[in-house]
Amino acid sequence: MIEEIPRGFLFPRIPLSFTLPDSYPDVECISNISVIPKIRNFRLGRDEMEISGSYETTVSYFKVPTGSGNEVRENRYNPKELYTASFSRPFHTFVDLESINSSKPFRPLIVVDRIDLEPAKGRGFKGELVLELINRGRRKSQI
Amino acid sequence: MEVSREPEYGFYKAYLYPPRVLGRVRRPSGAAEIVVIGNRGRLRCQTNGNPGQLLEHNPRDGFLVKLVRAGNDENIVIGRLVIEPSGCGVCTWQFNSGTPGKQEEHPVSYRLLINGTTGEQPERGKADAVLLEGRFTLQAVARDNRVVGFKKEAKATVKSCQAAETNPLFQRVEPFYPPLPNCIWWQISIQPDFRNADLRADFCPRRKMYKSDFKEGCQ
Repeated sequence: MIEEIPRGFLFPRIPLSFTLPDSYPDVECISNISVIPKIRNFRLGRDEMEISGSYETTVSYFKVPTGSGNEVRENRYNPKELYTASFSRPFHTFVDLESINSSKPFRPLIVVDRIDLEPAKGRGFKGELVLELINRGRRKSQI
Repeated sequence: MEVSREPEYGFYKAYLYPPRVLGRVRRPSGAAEIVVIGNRGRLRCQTNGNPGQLLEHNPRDGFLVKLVRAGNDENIVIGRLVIEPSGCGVCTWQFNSGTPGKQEEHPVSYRLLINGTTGEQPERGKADAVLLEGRFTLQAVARDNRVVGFKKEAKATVKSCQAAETNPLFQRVEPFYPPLPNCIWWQISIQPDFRNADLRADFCPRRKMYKSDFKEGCQ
């Protein structure tokens, strides 16, 4: 069983804005998203922690149906076609140790509190992401 | 400080749409959020409103949530939506997953379906019974970790002894028709009496017990 993730430090919300490469078709609607945050390095100071890494966001979407809007789309459009694009963004930040459970051994994990994305005007996606830093501590079984 | 590689963490979100308009409307009717840490995962899906409202002319009173693995037709019934006071339907499912990053694991695509049901039985074969659909891809297979059905039966019939192919003590049975989804039922035969086994002429304590020994005891 996956246990409840202990509450940690919520980072300020990150506005997301992704633009698709030219070779990708336009977005009609989003099917699914995955976010994989990775911590590359962290350093514990006296009263703050430096942490850096990246998060990779993968978006699968349905393209805008081809043809004019007057056509009956029902039979012409295959909704099984999904297009997928990945975007990687780095992060490098400092966290006040008072705001997190800094008990040793410190085993940080960045988790996603929430993500919302929608198709943006033009070609891409916009939305926001809230990441959370938790310390998994010494209990290996925790989460 | 270097960071250990384990556990791998992944967050997945699949938007849910009515299948008739899947890929054609911008506003989703719900979403499923999946957290995978190491080889454990949790799926939670929520609809924006009461999914029964999607079918005005043919109301449903139950909402079965199931996963279909792409290209495999393997169905996992993960539970039922619980309609909250807010009117939204919610379902949570815990599962086991292969450890991501292992060589033998490949990304696996799933369809998450919410089926409307009337009464207890899901309406099979009716395309319009699927109210909402979403898709997502995990890094490894999601396995149901619930023990769904386990029936203890201390009596072996001759028929089950003959039919036993692998372990004659455990007999796969199907007590319900139509079969309950996601349930495996076992009939456990009575243990052979090892204490009195030496009374049998052919008994040799150093000899490995063979399947035929067990079969004989049942006849």
